[in-house]
Amino acid sequence: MLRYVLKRIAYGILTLFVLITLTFFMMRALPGDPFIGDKTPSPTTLANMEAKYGLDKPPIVQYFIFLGNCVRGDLGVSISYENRSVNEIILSSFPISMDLGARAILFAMIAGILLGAVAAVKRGSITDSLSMFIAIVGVSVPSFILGALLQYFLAVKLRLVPVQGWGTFAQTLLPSFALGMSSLATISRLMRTSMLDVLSQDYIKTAKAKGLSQSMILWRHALRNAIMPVITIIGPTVAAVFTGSFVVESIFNIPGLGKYFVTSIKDKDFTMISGTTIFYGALLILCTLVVDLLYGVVDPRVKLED
Amino acid sequence: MKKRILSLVLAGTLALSLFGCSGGGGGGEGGGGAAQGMYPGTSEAGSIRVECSTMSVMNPILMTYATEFAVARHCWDALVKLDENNQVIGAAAESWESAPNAEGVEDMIWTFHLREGAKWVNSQGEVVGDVTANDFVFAWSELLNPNNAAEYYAFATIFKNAQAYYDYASGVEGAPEVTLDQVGFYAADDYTLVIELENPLPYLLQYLKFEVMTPIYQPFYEEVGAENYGTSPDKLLYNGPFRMTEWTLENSITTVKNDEWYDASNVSLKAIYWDKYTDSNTKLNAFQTGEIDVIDITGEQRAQFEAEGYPVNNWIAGYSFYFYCNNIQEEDLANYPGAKLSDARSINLRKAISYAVDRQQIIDTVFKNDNEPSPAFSLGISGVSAETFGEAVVAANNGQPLYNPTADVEKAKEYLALALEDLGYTDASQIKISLLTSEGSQNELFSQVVQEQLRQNLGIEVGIDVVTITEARARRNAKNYDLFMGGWGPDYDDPMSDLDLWTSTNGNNHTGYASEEYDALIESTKAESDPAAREQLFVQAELMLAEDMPFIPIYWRHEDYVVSEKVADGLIRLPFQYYNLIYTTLAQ
Amino acid sequence: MAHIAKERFAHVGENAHDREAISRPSVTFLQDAMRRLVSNRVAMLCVVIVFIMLVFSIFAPILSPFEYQEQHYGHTDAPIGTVCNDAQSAGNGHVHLFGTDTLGRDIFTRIWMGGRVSLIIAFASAIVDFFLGAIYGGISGYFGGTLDIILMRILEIINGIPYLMIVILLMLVMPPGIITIIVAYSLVGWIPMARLVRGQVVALKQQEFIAAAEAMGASTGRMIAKHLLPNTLSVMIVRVTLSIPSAIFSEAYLSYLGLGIRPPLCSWGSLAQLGIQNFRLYPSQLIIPAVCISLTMLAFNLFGDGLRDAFDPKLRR
Repeated sequence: MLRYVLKRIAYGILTLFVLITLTFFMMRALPGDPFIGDKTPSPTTLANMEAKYGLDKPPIVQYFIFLGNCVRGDLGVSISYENRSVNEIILSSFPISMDLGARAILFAMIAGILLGAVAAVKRGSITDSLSMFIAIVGVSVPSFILGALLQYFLAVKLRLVPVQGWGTFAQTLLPSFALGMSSLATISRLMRTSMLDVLSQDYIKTAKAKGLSQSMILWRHALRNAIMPVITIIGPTVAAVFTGSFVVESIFNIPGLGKYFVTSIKDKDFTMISGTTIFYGALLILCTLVVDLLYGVVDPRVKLED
Repeated sequence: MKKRILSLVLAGTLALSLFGCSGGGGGGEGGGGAAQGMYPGTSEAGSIRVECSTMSVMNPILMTYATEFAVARHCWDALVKLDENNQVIGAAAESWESAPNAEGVEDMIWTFHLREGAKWVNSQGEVVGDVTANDFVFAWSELLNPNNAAEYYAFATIFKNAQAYYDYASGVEGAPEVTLDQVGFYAADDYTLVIELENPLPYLLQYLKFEVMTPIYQPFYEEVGAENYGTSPDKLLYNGPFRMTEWTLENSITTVKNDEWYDASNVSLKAIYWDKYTDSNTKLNAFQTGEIDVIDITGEQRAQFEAEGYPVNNWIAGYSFYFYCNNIQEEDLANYPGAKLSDARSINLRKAISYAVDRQQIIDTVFKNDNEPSPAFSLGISGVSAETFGEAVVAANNGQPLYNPTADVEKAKEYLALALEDLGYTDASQIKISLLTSEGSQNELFSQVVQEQLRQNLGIEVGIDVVTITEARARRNAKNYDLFMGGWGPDYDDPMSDLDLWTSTNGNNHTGYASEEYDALIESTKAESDPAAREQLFVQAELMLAEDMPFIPIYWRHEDYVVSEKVADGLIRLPFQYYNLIYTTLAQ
Repeated sequence: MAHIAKERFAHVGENAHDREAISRPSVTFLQDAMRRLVSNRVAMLCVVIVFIMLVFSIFAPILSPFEYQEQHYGHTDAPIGTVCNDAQSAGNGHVHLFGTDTLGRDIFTRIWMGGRVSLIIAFASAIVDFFLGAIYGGISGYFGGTLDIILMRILEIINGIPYLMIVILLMLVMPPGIITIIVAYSLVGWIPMARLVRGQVVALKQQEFIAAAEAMGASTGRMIAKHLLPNTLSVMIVRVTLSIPSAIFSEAYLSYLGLGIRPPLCSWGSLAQLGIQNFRLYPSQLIIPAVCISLTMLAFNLFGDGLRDAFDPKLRR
């Protein structure tokens, strides 16, 4: 177990290292000087940058300086926002993205599992059709279209929720929904298949034969086993939610990190892009690791020794 | 380098930052709409929410965007400010007088008497100190401090010896030693500020009203440190009608009424929220559901409001939009490292393009608003022989606009034939021109219309390079482009403010156009004292520009916006005043 | 109880021919799968949809009287079915079937031009995925040992990087265009395919028939061509079918971020992005590209599901 954990951590670190390297060299390949936008940086800033990134040194030395900064957790200074560090911006905006992401994932998981399970138990019922419909919408409508439509119909036409912003509970509903939708679709579909599979297993028949109540069978035996495959896709779900948040945060005007990432792409703010990419990368690598370990704990059939 | 403001402005969304000239007619004053209960606006009593796009920097001496200045106008008082008719009135200064300098030149030394009892407050509204003449002296010396690399340092170079000091301090080779004491501003006492000018400047007060010229409280500035000043509301002090209490980067700024301000009793707003929107649909939705009170709108959205019968406001943003053209000739290339030798170097090709574009069609298709095709370049300035300088130019051209409002395909083709000769091509398809476009849906649509017009009218396949505004500007500055859409609005009411742009030494002349004749003509206006004769010189300059066509004027900008019914009166949007909400009153 | 005479029972003798005969007609795996696929009505409907999309995308821009970038200033934002009677095409009765966009461009032509771009991106990415994944996974799985370990570790590391991040970074670095999107997408898109193929090959290698083939001295080429490939192909086809919608999705996503293809070219993503600006006033400008995206994604997804069912040996009867 320990060996497996250490091995996975080592891989995580290696992946992160590759990501940092890739980011650095891609940014160097950008046309123009990535450190100088159209604003003339002040001599103080320029001197700071030079010291920080070793701009006067050969690229390979710069690379090691960059790597060293990353190891120390220093992601640099933003170019567009005068005198602000990337760390500071991430620190102030990421909690919002995380809040949004957590809500979206929670929503997708709970609703997805329930919908999938019910759809499987009551095959051919209205719930089944509904789950199919949601799955269809979720996989086939891009989030920026879904978000805009939801906003118009639910917020403008029906006035059920606010159009934009972040703060009150009502404001969190639409973005969480728009962001969680595609994951919800995947999860409910997966859950349905898995549940159907489990329900046809012999031990369910045995339980029935033993005279267990329907709810007992579903809760104690079927659901717990059917949930396993869903846990495996938490990792990809987290990734999907965070990349999806770039779009959703822009549409719903949420001051999260995703919105900064999009703005920094548009402004070609080198340090912001690389800093945010590395941050997101590290986060997702960590999430995948946790989920994998969790999976081993939840499902005794999975051998962690690999 | 005197007029950086406007070249910095054309941003991703065209609605982003607009500055303008004075004159040129009305402008808009947005009262509330007819009381139809359609869009009642935000629900919080005593406050309004307005749209404001870029708000990245809040240290007044480092600001660059008109939207940033709009917030600054509410937080800080400069010596003077503009009223609802764009007239200069006192702000931090109560009165002022001028005197001749030692050489006897009139209006070279100015004395400003500051308002006594004005206070500095922090973001909590607590009084920190008094506003004194020294705060201006300190702010201006920071503006001139090369370490701050303030984009607008040039505004402070109107003072005597200021440019020399700046050169010396930035280590320019051979610059003679000049100390700060020798620069032309000092505090005679706490409430008397004396200014000595480098050159006569009829529009001094217009300069002094700028937000970069606002004061800074030295003890506080030194306490937080230059690099931290203005990075959050608590790292700033305020002397204006409002103070900043919250600032979420890329999202929103909250300013609340400053009770210590001298005229606070006449300010009825308790708070102003400045909100940034990235998605124009979301913005419209938010307006309709009462989450914001003032938004800029697109032509399509205007049609929607008009269809509903809701009043749409309009202000002349005082802004000329035109194509920068790369004029760099083969022999100049050596002087411009990184510059591109473009087909646009042919005058005849530029003329062909100018005749081939249909300006009215562009406006009707892309903007669908009141924008006007440019008859000349400098338009909004007051004239001598006619009401506006623009009209004087058109009159001098036998009443014809210098640039055709609709396409003239025959003429375009004539010039195209000459252009092919210039460039040594045999066929129009050999011409390689691309349109450098900064992101934003309107910009991209604009480029596509021009692309299609040139394809149909000239048979030229024009490429479109969509890049970020940052990259677009960098490439424009490096002269690594063929055509680039840019904008300019004058800073003061004189043709010089526009026409000086195209002299070979102007830092904002990114076309590479360098005509000794033109430079001499502009220089000659400085010595001309007769207003009518001086205007004629400027008219000649305009005609010369139309002849050489270093750039291609396209349109003259108007801006539409809507205001919720919550706002009763006093919402001012004028050239130079992107927003003035100080005395805005609310309904109810 | 009546007696039955023993004589009535007689040994008829064995018929060597009939004994070995197969009473059911022989059905190969592929035929069986096809049969099941054809009987799956949803999957067939999807095939029809994809076919229609393809045919229109190929031919509609050629046959349309309008060019996709041609602007009709007299007819901006025209509703569905407007007869075009401006100076350019007066009197010839051309109709803007889906109306025009904000610059007066014929949406019908643009939709299918956009379809071309989106589908080219999707198919090209899928093909690159298919081959890269097959080769990488195949080599790793077939040769095994140290090579397998090294290749799989590399893959695991690349797989840890969120793919959209890589795509975005690449889009920033490379010149904008269709090729860039394809390259950026394929650069990370082949990984699931490689894993799949490798897993499949490793599993197959443990099967008896492979051991038998090996024992009978089959060459490497024959092993791959006759045994491994046909048995892996079905899984790969399913995977490719499902990766097409994800490529279409990515393209739309990049368009929203402003990193997609450049005008005047258009894709479904960029059309939807443009349509969304005006959808309050002209809903059809959003709905038409949105429906195209959704329908195509759905068709590929459901068709992929159908294929998986058809190829699933467990369902073989």
